Amino acid sequence: MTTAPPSTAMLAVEDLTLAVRRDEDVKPILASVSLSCAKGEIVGLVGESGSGKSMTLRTAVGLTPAKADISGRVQVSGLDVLGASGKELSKLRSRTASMIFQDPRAHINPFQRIGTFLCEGLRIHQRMSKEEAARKATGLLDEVGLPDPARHMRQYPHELSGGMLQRVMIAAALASEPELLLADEPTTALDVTTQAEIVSILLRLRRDRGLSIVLVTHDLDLAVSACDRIHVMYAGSIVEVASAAELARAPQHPYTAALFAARPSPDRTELKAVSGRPLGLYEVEGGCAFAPRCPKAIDLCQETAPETRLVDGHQVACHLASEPPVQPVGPLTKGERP
Amino acid sequence: MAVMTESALVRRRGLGRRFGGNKAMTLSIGVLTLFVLVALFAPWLAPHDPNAVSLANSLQGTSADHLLGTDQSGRDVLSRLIYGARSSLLGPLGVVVGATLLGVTIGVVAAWRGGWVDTALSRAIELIFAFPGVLLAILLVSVLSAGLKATVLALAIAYTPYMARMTRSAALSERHRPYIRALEIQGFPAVSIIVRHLLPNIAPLVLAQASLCFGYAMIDLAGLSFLGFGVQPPQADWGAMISEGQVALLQGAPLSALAPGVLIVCAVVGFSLIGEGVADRIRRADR
Amino acid sequence: MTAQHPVTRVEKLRRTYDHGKVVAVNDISFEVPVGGSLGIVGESGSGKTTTAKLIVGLEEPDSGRIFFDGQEIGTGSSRKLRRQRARTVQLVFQDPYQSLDPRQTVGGAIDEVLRLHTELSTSAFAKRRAELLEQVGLGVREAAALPRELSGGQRQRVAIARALAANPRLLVLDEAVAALDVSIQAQILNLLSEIRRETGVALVFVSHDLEVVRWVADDVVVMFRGSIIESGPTAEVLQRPEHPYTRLLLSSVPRLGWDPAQVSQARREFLATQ
Repeated sequence: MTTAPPSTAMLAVEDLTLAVRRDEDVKPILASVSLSCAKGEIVGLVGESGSGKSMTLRTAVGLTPAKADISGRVQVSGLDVLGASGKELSKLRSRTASMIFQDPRAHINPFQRIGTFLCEGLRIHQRMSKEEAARKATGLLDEVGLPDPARHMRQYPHELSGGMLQRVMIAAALASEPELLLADEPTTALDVTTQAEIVSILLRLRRDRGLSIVLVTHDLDLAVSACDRIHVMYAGSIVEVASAAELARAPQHPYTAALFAARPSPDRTELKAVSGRPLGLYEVEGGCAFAPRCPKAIDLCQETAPETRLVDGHQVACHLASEPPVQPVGPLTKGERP
Repeated sequence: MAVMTESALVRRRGLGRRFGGNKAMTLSIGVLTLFVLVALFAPWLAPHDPNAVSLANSLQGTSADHLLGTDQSGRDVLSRLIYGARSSLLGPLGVVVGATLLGVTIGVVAAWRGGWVDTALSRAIELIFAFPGVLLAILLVSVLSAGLKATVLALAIAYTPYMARMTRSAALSERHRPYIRALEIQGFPAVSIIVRHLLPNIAPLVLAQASLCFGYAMIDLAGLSFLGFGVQPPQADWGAMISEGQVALLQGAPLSALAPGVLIVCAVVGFSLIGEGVADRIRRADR
Repeated sequence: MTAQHPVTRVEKLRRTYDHGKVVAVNDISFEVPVGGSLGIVGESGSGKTTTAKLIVGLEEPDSGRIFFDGQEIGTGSSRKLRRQRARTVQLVFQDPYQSLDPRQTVGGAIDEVLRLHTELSTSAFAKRRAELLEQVGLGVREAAALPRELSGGQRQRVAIARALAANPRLLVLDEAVAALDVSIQAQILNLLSEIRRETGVALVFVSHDLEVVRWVADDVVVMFRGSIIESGPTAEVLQRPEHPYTRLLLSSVPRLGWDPAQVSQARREFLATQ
């Protein structure tokens, strides 16, 4: 779209458009999504339900729905994912890119010991001997900060808390020495103090291993505090891209501003709710997807979808973005502090 | 005629889509509807009196007058098949209705009350389970005397565990869902929560299980009739017809035994497919 | 002198599982003034959800007493007792979809509760129903809809309307906005403030989210492993936390310039002292 991703990009998604086919219906999910993550960078992908953030992440490792119309380009470490063969894709997933998910318990066999679970991949993909794999797995558990790796290797998933299990999943993701980690809401199901723990591990991995991380989350505050750069998604499109600090300082897109203003925080005196609900791309009827909920929308917004433009270092898709920085707007509901 | 076929096809396709586009299921519904209609309109459809004995016409082959020939007593096989549809469908229906009423009551009470009530009911159910259904039926019939009513009652009891067990597990998972909890907190009486909320939500599952049971009940009833416990001669019944046709089979006139056999297979397969189709749809809807 | 009784007073409430081996709630006491709002904050395993269940009667305490308007409502699950309790205290669940009968329309769900708890004439009934729907911002179109046809936020509005239908004095909300999108959370939080102002219903807000509690609650209790470790006016507790665990919780909230490594270090140190 506007700027080509840097050549050092670990992940480069360009102009990705995706629609799912079901019977005769075509349901558009993503519209011209562009996203990049450089080597050693932590990139946030923030959006609400139906924004297409998880689908974007899945597409990055070739996990696309069976019947889908896809166009655009997706590159991971130089590999053209959309054109890749099954063999190349499985190499991509077992070597280059790993994924972790919101609910670690759903992604682990409850009847298998942690050690067996971790060693399986090592023995199959890296052809390690039993002893080698066990040594490596123990080392990985140590790296993700579990207190007693040797004991955890013999434990079953139900013996570990959610936070510990997520660390096991991170260890499993690291087993293949990936260059890219895709994290889909990895802390959403966890307690706040545990969330801090997981985020600090991710930050340390980036520092120690030069890992590139894409963090998908609905929590803009979390993204701002953990990421270098943030992509904000709404209804299948990227509406704003900026560095975390810039985004927090002066959000350019009304949706980003609304997301900040809708979260209670010590320095806000009123909660500004956005009317309506987040839409999926298939529900958008032309014009800007956010226009029906946007307090600043003008006629133009209802008619044509905005182009992405560069304003103060933000890439922002909004007709009004060339105006001075968006000030938070008046409340739409009568909400006040009780 | 051609026009009629076409419109029938169109309607079936519509039905099929509603049931998830399952062709086998659509066909099953069509066949079973046909069976029910035949049973309802038997007096108008049957070309002969099903019980008119004519020993002179014994074991005749197909002819214009007797499309499927005659049996050993010279009765018209087609007419007996048409009349036989009544007891052959009504019998299993009685079994299923009885087993469902009993089983759902037991299952829901066990799931709702829990504790010792659940334990007691579950043990009782397992006890009946451990007994082969047909054997139980034979035992009961020997006490109650043979006949359709006694066999239906016996099989209804024998089938109750299947319905009760399924209902119990479905009701149990439903009972612990927040919406039932929410109604309890509101102070609604248990009976009204069960009748107005819990039962409607597990009804599709119960229905699927019931239609599967229908097929099995049909086979068991036919088997009991074949053994002479069920429908008593001279009343027409598909199971009894197979039994009566044994000799004819050996004498080289297989139609009088084969025809009811084919119909039983069609009906049983039809009901199983419907049951599975409904169950399938529930699974999909749950996802 | 007749001092007004608090809507709810909880005295030395205790609930254990597994024959006393697991203490979910350990001798906790607090009260909610008439029209007040109390936040119960804690992480998973803190006992906050068990506390909510004890208040509404979904669970029975091993010991301790719960007073509503100065009167103790007996424990037990008889229909009369449940109904009496329902007219005093109502619960709104975390997942609004799960807490509504999937086969019942929104209007049907509200009517049912109104019929159970009120004896209104036909015209008053219709008026009350419309009033409840309006109070939570739903229209006639939503009243005819099934839960699956509504969005998460709308469903939670339905759940709130249904809870209000019994005209309770206290509304207990168990993580009532946690499952909603951020832009919808604010709608529901504002709605609750508005309802509280208009109807005078008291709120108990059970949540893991400090910022949400800061927003809706006048007073707060912080729970850790079944016990209340700190309590007081929300502003005071969150501004000048005294207990190290409260401080840990506060520092765990992500914000710009946040250092998660420092937080997890603090967490390890705190847990080591326990």
